Amino acid sequence: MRRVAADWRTAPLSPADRALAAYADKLTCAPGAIAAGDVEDLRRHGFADRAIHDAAQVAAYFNYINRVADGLGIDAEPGVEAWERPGGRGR
Amino acid sequence: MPFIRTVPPGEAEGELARHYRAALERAGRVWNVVALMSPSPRALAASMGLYRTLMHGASPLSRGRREMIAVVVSATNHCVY
Repeated sequence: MRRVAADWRTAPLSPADRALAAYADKLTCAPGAIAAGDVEDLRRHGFADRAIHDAAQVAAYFNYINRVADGLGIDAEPGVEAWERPGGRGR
Repeated sequence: MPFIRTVPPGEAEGELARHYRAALERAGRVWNVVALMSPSPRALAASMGLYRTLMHGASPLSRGRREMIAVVVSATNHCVY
């Protein structure tokens, strides 16, 4: 998970996990650019409607909570990794 | 320090105190992101409810996969697009 946090593009992910990561990354940086082809890519890796829905919701939730945390100046939790916190990150 | 005043667990009353207690029972601590929403206990409850539903509820995506998505998003949010 540390490798994913550093750079998911070079982390040793399965093709299916890589497809999920790419989708989450695009939804985060360029949500307006998401198109049918991006979802088709998830289907090609074996994800059906419910899984795709859940992936979108989880990615969107963390975008939401990141902004709440950053907007209000959250303190980092001492001694805890980013992925162990519900907010995802902190200073 | 956060940019707004947050209610420390020891000072919480009423609805907020209930939410803090529930958070303590579930996670053993009141996460900073929970305390950050202390100005609106209703928003806190809704937000944490959604979090639990998405991250701990049933899903064809394993918890590990969902956590991976969360890590990708949080790391990517360091990007300037």
